[in-house]
Amino acid sequence: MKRNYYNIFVLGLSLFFTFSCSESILEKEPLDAISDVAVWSDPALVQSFVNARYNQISHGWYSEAWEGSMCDEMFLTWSRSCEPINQGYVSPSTKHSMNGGHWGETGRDWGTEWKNIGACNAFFDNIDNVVYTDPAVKNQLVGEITFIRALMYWDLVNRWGGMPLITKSYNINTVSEIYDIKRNSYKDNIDFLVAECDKAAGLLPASFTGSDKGRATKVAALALKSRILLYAASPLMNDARSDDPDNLVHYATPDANRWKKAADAAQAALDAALDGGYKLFDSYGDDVKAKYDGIFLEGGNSEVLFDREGGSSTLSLNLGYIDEANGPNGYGSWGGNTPISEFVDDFEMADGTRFNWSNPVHAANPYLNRDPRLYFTVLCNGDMWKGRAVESFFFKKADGTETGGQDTKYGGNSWNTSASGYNVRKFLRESHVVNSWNFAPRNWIWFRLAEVYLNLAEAKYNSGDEAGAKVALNAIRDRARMPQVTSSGTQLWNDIVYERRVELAFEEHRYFDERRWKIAETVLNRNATGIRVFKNSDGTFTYTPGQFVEERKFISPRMYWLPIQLDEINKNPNLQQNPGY
Amino acid sequence: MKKNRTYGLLYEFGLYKMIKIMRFTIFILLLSLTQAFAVNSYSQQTKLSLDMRNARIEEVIDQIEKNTEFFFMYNKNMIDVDRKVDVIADDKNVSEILDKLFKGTDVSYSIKDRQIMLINNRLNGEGKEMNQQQKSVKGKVTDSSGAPLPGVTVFVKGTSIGSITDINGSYSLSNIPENATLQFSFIGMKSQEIAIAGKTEINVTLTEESFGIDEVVAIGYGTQRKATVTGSIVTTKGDDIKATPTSSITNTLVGRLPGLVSKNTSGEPGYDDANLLIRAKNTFGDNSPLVVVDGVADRAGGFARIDANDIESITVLKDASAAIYGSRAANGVILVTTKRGKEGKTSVSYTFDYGLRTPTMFPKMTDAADYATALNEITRLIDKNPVPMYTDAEIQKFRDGSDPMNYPNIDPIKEAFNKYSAQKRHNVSVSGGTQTVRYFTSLGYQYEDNNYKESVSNYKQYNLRSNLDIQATKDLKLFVNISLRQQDRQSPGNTRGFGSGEIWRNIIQGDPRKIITYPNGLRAEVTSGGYNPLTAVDGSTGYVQNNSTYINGDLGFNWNFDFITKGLGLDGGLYFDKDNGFYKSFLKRYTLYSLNNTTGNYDPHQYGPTNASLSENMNHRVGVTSNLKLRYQRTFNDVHNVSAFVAYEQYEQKYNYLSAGRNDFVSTALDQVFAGDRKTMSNDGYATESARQNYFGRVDYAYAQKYLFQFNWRYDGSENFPKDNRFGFFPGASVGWIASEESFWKDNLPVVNYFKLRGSYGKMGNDKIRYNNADQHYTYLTNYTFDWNATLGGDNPAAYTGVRQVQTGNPNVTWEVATTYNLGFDAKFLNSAFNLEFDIFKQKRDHILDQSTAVVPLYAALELPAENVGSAESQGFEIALGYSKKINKIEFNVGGNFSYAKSKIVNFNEPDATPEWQKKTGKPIGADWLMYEAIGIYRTQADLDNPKYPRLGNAELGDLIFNDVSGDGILDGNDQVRLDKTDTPEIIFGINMGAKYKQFELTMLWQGAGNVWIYDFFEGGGGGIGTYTQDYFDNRWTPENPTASGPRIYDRDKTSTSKPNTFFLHDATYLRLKNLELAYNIPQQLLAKAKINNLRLFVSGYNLLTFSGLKDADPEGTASDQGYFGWSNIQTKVYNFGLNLTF
Repeated sequence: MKRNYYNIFVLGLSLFFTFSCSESILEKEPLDAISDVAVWSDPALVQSFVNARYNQISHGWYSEAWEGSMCDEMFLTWSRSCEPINQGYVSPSTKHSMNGGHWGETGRDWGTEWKNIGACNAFFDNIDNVVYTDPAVKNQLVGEITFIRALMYWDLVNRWGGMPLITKSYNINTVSEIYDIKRNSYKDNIDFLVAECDKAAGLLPASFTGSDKGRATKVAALALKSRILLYAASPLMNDARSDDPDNLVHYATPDANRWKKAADAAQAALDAALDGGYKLFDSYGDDVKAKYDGIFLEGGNSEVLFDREGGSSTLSLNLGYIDEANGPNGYGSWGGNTPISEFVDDFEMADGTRFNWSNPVHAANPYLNRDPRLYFTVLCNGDMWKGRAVESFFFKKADGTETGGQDTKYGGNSWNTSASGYNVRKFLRESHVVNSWNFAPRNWIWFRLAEVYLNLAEAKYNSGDEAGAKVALNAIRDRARMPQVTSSGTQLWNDIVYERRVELAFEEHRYFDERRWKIAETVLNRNATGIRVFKNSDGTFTYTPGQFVEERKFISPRMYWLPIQLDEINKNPNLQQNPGY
Repeated sequence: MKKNRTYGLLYEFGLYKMIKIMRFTIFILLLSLTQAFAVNSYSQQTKLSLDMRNARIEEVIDQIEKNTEFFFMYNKNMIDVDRKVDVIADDKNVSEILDKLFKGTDVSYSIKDRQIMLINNRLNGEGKEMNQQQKSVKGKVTDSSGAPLPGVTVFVKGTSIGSITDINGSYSLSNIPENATLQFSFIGMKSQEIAIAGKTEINVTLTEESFGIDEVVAIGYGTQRKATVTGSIVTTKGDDIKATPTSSITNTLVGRLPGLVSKNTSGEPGYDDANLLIRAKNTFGDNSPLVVVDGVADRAGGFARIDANDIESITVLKDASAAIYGSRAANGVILVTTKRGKEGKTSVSYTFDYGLRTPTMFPKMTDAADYATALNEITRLIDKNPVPMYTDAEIQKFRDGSDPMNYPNIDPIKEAFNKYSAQKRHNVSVSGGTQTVRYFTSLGYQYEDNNYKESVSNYKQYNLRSNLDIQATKDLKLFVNISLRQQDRQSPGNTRGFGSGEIWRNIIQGDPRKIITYPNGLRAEVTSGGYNPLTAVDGSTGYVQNNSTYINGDLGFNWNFDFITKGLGLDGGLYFDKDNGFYKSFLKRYTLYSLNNTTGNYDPHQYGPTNASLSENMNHRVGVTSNLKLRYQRTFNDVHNVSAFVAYEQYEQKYNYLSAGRNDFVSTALDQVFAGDRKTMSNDGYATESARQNYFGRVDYAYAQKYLFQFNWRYDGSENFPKDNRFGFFPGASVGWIASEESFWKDNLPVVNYFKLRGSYGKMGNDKIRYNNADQHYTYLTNYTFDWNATLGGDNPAAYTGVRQVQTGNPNVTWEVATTYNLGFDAKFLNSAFNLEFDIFKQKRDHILDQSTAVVPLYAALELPAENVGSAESQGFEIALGYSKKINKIEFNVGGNFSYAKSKIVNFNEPDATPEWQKKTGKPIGADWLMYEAIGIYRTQADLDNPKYPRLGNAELGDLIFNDVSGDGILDGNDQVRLDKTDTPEIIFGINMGAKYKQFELTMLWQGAGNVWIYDFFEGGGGGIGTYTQDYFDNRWTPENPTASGPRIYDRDKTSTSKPNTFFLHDATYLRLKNLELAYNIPQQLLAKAKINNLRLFVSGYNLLTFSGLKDADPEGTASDQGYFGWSNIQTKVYNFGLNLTF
């Protein structure tokens, strides 16, 4: 009997396996993913797809190196990845960084922006198959994606020149078509982007409220168009050159009328903004420092036309990380991007006159009575920060040996000491607790109203309307509590240049401005220098400017544009490299 | 989308399908044949037929040995094997045949497993009588397990005086000269000679011949006698590997198994598994072999951390013999067999080890004065700052220690490391059995501490195994195996990457100018962000706990259908695997201090989260494998041996993941989720599932035990591929010829007493798609996931769910195909004193799965899936030689093996425009080093100006000259060269030695590797980067020493010399004493009273000696992704002692 039980048991076990043998066990579906079909048939998922495009919009403060550290605004204390550009040896194969490591890619990542463009193309390829009960919903999504794609394209064109205009998405079976692709001319790109901005402006409202604030608007599209046309009218794109036969980085034919178009676009953007309720942020009265902190730290304030919001980056860093990485070393911060003297010395006196080290009054008290935006933008010796004065001074100890304050190499974390003697203040949140690793989200402002005023000033000046230029310029000067500009001619131009340098400092304008105005070969061939502050025994300070920070070199005309990575050229030799590389 | 099924486990794996149509019927099964592989009830299961007339007993015995796995042990002097008999047996048990054979003689027999011992009762009886009459020399002969050996011949050398041991293994001899030597011999055992030298009692332990005739190897879904194996298969015994005092089995194998390549890249407790590779890399992705434990592939827990005391054998299938594992076999297969109980009295064994761990070496780094000097050079030469960082007087202060507060000279290695840390291992096992039940049960515990001072990082393991065999009926055997293992790894809290590898890195490169502990005991902030080497290791920052639990449970049967037709049988099993992971990271706030120059106070700095934070995740995976195998084995006309089987197997697996966390803990006293602030809580979770389905079989045919043929096949379905590309057929065939069995060989080449020639060919698959540190499933689908949430809302931020594409589907994806060829021979000569094995092989891998990132431009904006795009090949050879001999009283054996394998990428999907010197095609797999060729140093201005030596970036005097490979006069990324060198050794060799003298045993394993390189660039530099090796510093170029052998000081981030280049690439050929064991067996007579069978004391070691050309690196070390050395914990050396007690 016992034996029979066993036999029945085993027979049962055998049958159990035998019956289990169905091929259906291989029919599995992912439990950690959503299918292609689901995404492109459910409006809720399409909405989420669009949301992700906002997340993937590029932003400033990429990695540890800011763009300002690759032009005559700043120096990155640990140099990482900035040298090839600052020292004039950037090449298609250096990938802009010495070690090719992850410490930092300069500027914004080529691949990430193309991926976002590709996703926008996938949206356009599929959106017509999605059923919407309310066409307005679809129109708005189309407008948003049109704007985002144009913005990403613009960011590429701005650094690398004319891009291949790709408006469809690929898959594994169609990707071979990509190898036929060539770059489109600079003109094609500008024409395409302007048309896209117009299209987006036509589909989008002027503003959003509540938690939708931050989505692309008509005003954002017009602000983008204003910047595109301003840049397109500039000398770099309009001066004749013989090394660009395919017109990838300049117009085949110069056209002075482009300034007029730029002025009109700026005017249209300004009008639309003012109509839509945007205005220059002007709270806190005469407290310029607080006022400007507000522009950058008070989310969604009246001046912001478009920003990339939140803390998470398209890279793995948190945007709030800038608070940790950029304060003076004595506070435990990492002293990263540090303003250099070439930038600090450009700040006017509060009365609108030039600052000059040769002036003994200025030299004795260099930080007294300057354009109030200096105190908002830069931390100098003696400035109050997080409850104490910045100590970037050196002094002699009783035994005669030299030592220094907390924010010098004699303080904590000495390798994070600013080489220039200055630290950045703009964008930083004073209330951030160093080393808490609790980061406040930070919005990267792509377009704010001040820029539109300055675009207008520049375009009007260049199209012959000096009066109009001054009106626009003085709107900004008034807000900064600086005297109005009354100059004309070259001086007025210098005032416009000054205003962009100071008002828009570190906002990723200077790098482009000095290129499109073709002043880079002058200003970027200056070495970076800093200040040395010595505290005398009587408590007064002696300032010695001209401290060597970095040898800088700009190779013209090659470095007006970035080289396309060699890897990308190798993959498709039809993709032309920029001139000079 | 399919709805999730929520049925129970049984339903999931059984009933649901049962309702479905029978796709595979028992009738198909019945068409097929199979081979018996039951081990323990072999004598009952094995039936044989004999028809021999007027045959000598010896011929009958030979015939039985050939047709079965039995082997006989007897003494020709005592058993009359020339007696002629008639044997006619039809499908009888061996015992029935033997009963007939020796009926009416004095010969009796005993069967122990496959071993049959013939004993002459009369002679033994006489021996006893003699015993009582005269008492000159007596003693006992035992086998290596301590069991008595009856029937052993004991002769006085050079005389005809002799005796045979009795049933208790005892013997006695009289009238023996004082200076006589006794010879002990027994078939299947190594003979021994022992001089009497006045002793009256001589006890002997005989050991089995190393290539014993009983040797049976696992071959995947069965076993085979080694003598008739036709594939390239190597095996090692668990008892050998357990002599290596390390917790991961992966570290014990290299050097023992020819063709196995291993690299141990870390010595961190619990994370120190070696990467294993069989023969060579053959694919661009995951090259790891398939691991099969007790018949089940890829099971929970793998094999790395199985208790070595539980392992019976480890076998590696290197060629087409692996094809039985089909679409997972291409990288080779490692078969692990655990111990099982044997019939006999209960044996209890206890083993205890205590070891001292220490790093194999430390790099010698510069002291503070030298580092300060280097920093001055950075300031002057690199940063071009005319003001030096330190004056000569200050450097002198660093050197002479006259001002230790301001100019300290700290050795971070000394501060942070203990010289030795402890490891302990305990194991108790109980085994034995009766005819109906046999059992092996083992319980183990291991502990390993890390080498850091006050370290909270350690590894603990608890394991239990119980293997049970039940002979339910004459025809039915059941087996039940249960294995449980708990692995607990703990590390310090990892706030900012200061975990594990980073700890080592930060200490090695630690700044010698930085005080770690102030004289008042306060810990200093050594680098920014809150780093202090002591705080980083002692738990101040919190802790990370990583626990894994593995459960393997098997239930199966072997059922003989001799009642249907003889030789037919059915085997089956249900194998259950579960693993649970639990990960917990509890981060605490901690304080470091800095001395404030202005105030003279120690300013406290708070680090870590403002209040403690906790994140946890749990995952569990359940996998069920089930199989059914119909087998058949029979011998026809005495010469045709046929064995075959067909089988079906399926596997289903489901994985679930859940995580949760909270911040802002009110107190660090409670490290549980509930104690955090509810407002900060977060969670996440997902699941995955997968399945496999396989049909496979094997046919073995042997003619006259001389001509051998084997065919394996597998028809394999993998859910990794789309429906149409899902199933593949993977055949493997091998042939063998035992030439030494031919009469012409025996007549002409008797010195070579065994020679087998073998060859194999097969096709196998690889369905493993692995990149981005994860196994990729559903490559054929375009997938999206929720990610990239948008934050919008301006002053009123809100998160909007995002969706992103994970991957563009590749509807054409299918498995990689490996085609392997193997040719080899096994030979033994001089009566098997020497043995030699040789294999030459080639593997071709096509349709290699890889992402086409090298050819698809980024502006195509594709999330690339794997495609079947590459091809590669590898070839090489293996040779193993063994020799054993007894000289005087010393028994010794020595063996050596040498493996060489080289891979070559035949086709890598890369752009035509890539310069020839950078292409991967033509290079070995893993040729990832793309670096500048250092061809000298810029020593003079003339060198700098020489157009032949264009400069890279900001290169200057003292920097390395790089070869302008493109010859375009510009040095840029285009001039990097893809080297023909990799960090995977192409040569692996091992030397085994063993010696035995009286109660002493010595074993040694030397192991080495060649054709292997290491990139040992240390991250030196200014700022907080870190210091240099003393070797680099001492040999650096300076303006004052322009003829130095090395380049000037570098800065990780700034100089051209620190770009990856061949100056820092070194030959990592090494030879190391992987294992040494010296053991002493306490003489039996001392133990008898305590009823102890055996007490063995031993000292042993791991990685005791290393010889390599490297000054500051362990040869098995690796660089980080960025090319920086010293990012993983260094390899470990262990001094160990222990004891083994059996009773």
